[in-house]
Amino acid sequence: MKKKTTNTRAAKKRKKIKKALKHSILMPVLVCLLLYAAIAAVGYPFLSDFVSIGSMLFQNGSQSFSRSYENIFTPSDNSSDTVDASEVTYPSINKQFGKLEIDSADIEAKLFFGDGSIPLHNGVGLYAGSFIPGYGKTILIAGHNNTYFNGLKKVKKGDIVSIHTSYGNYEYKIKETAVKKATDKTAYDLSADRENLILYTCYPFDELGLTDKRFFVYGDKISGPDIVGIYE
Amino acid sequence: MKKFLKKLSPKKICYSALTFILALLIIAGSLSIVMKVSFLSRGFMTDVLNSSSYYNDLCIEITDELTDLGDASGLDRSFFENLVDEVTVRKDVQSYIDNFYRGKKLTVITSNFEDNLRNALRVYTDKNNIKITDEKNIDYFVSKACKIYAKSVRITYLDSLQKLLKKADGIFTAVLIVSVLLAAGIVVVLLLTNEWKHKSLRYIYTATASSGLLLVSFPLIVYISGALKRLSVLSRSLSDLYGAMLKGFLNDILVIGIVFIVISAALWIAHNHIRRKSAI
Repeated sequence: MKKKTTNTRAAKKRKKIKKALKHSILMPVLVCLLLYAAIAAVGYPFLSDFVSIGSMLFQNGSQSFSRSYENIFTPSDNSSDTVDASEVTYPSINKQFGKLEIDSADIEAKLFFGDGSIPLHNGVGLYAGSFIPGYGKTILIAGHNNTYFNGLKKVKKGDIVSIHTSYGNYEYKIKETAVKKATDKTAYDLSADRENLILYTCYPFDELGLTDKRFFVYGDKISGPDIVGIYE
Repeated sequence: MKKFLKKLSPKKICYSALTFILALLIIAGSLSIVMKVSFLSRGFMTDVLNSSSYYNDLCIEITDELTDLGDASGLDRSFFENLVDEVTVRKDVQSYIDNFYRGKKLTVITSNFEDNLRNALRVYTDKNNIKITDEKNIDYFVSKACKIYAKSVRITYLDSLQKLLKKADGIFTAVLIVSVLLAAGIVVVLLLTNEWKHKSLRYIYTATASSGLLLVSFPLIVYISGALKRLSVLSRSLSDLYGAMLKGFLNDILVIGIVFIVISAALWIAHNHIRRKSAI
């Protein structure tokens, strides 16, 4: 009889606890989930535009603000006339992929892909809309006149520009220099069907201040492997 | 399920609906308060700017960009080391923020920076005995430098948000007033129409606890997802600023959520107390 009473009491207590849990925890959680669902359902037509704009503010990985750069350049001893496209590691923006030298002008600079702040702060940069050496088209390289391209003031017709990359070494003979306006679109031809090198920097050299003039150096390829199998 | 449906009376359904609406109103009111004290408040913006590393990062970024310009203008990199003065930057950013909240045209004052730059150039040319051949080139350099400065001080997106600011302020005030009035009405209805006071308190408890849970869980979900670290902004200073603003906004929501959870705990205790009393 006593045992039965204890069991009934325990069952009553369990029921009480169950009820208390239901009302104190389960119900608020359930209502919370319903609130999420209601807000999503009702808010979607109004908020979908804002959500899609907002999602553009986020990216997959975390943002890097480092001014450091990656170097994919390793000196090559390739002396053949061609190099297969599959053997060429195409550089991405802000990566050092080569070295540029003009002995006659005391220029030795790291060559980067892209001509933004990081490349021009640390060396010279190949305009990403032009082509890498060996491609058979126009190579457009920029540098600052107060740093790595200050020596361009010394270059003369016939001087040799060397570009070293991981897939081959290239030489270009300077055929002319010219001072043109920065906005002069005839200063370069990115659609040329022959491999030609254009180096440019701000002008005048060693003077305080800025102008809209640029100093251009034009050269033609004399040696270096052509990249083959690009379109295969 | 059958048992559950059997237990449902029209009165219960009505009270449950009121509870749900009350929870929604608490959320709407809370979010309106948070919006008014965060994004729509000038004080919030100033606090975020002062507590984050925004000014320091901004000075570094401006210096970096000016150094690049100097590389093309015959200036030594050392010239820019102490050129960008944080006090001037703070003043100009504050003035830009003031214009934003006052609905004035968003322009950046560059006159102080220009004066500093021209003075520094004078000292530099005197010290290094440099002769300026064409004053026009110096003016062109200074105007480019001022453009860099103005672009950096300008806070992206603020100009497009300015028109929305006044509208949003009015909307959130209206939402807040309507939410408070309706929520108070529902609480009164729940308290006056239910003969069992502890049951009325249970409905109010459910509304406050569930809205509290939502308000606490939402910022926690955002924090856990790591979204704040994945802000797609190209400059470190702006990323810090937007990150700090979102963090401040989410923290405010979290605090309000905790307040409602505490209120709901008090309501639960009161509910139990009244229930026990009425059982006696």
